[in-house]
Amino acid sequence: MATHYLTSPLTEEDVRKLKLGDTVYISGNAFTCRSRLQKHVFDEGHTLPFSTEDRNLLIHNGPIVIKEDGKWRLVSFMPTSSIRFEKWGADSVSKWGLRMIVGKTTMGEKTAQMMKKCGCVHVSPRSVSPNLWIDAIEVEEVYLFDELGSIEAAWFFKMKDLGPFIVDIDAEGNNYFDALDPVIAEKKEKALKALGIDKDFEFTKLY
Amino acid sequence: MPKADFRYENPLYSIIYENALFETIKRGATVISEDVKDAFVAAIERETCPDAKSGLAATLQSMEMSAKRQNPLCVDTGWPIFYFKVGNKCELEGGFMALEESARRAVAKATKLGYLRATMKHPLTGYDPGNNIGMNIPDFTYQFVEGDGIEISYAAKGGGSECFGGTANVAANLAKEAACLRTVGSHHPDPMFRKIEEDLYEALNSLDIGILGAGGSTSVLAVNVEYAYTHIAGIACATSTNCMVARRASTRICADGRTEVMKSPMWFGDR
Repeated sequence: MATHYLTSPLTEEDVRKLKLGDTVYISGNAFTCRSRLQKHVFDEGHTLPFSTEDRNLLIHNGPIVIKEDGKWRLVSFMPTSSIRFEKWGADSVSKWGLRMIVGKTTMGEKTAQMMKKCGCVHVSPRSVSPNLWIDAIEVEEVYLFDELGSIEAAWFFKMKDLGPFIVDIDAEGNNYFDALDPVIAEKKEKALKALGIDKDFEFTKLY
Repeated sequence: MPKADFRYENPLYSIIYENALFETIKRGATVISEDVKDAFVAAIERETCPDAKSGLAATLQSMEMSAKRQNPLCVDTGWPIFYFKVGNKCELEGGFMALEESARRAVAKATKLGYLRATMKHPLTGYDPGNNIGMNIPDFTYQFVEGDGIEISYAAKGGGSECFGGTANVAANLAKEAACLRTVGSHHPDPMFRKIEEDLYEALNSLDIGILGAGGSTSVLAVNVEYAYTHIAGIACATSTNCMVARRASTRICADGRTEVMKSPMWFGDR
């Protein structure tokens, strides 16, 4: 498992070389959004009011930011669950030209296939450690969508070695968590046996 | 604050409990509890997977920094939930409505100061009040105990974790109250929720399940919907079915000792 230090905007080459389980630290430009903004754009036909060309790294997140002395101060930051974005995942990758998505846990098959096609990866944290991250992030700008509320805003971040994150969907569409499923299923069978619940046990059907 | 039209001899003053409420919220959002910390330390020691071990360690390290920096332990500061253990002889200035009003003010203040994220929003429209205050939120639970004081617990119940393995208790409680306490034939005053009630009523009765499931056009007598503001991470939804006879009774005890039979509980105001 290799460790990579990458700078956004990312190139296709940057992300094609990443393997499942690799560790990444990221620098450069990123923007944030939550699922409500993706619905606003992809379902409700609004246009994103900025270009993602030099900002092809999306972080699924609604940070806590307060304004002090006319400057933004990041109070807390933690990627949010990416699976909630699955409905719009493929569109966000292809239409926004993303090369990397940072989010909690992982995304589904449709997004993974679009990542394979376009050259994009998903990376995920292994800790809940906002204080180890906020010093690596400078808040540059914000696009507020009044009707969506402040947490659904798109924040522009400038990052310096933000991480570690692990690659959980590579640019071949493979998923790190998929490989864990059979292992857990096998252990579940053993656990049920230990609890005295037989393999052929069936719950009473009420209907 | 509701007007205090009654007087206790020696009440707990609102300035004391409102300050205690705010400090409890702040501590809940920024300081990891000792038992949780001990559990993390033990888990780090026990963990065999190196990446998971460093993940647990980074999480603990960040949480310890939160106490010093006085910032939230996690960006999701969760559902604001209060638990009160109330002494049987506890006297509060302004009464318990004033306590709840103070709790709401303390939540709004903690949000404004960045100890809480503005996380609670309307479940249908997504409207964000920006202060975590909305219909049925914060949530309050009471227990009555011996004594003359009050114990306040604040829980910041995370949004993601509420999506797994269960139904949010607020939704479940509201569903049960709607099923058992709402007057049959009443409607939610908000047209959006009234429409859900009417649509579900029509849909359920169109199934021809009928009384006792033996067929017939009357499958339900009423559909009652209540709502609470929800977490941006999801919408907790619960249903509670009641039998058609919907057994219940309510009695009003007046201050002068008279008792009156109530026709219906009027739990939700006039519905």
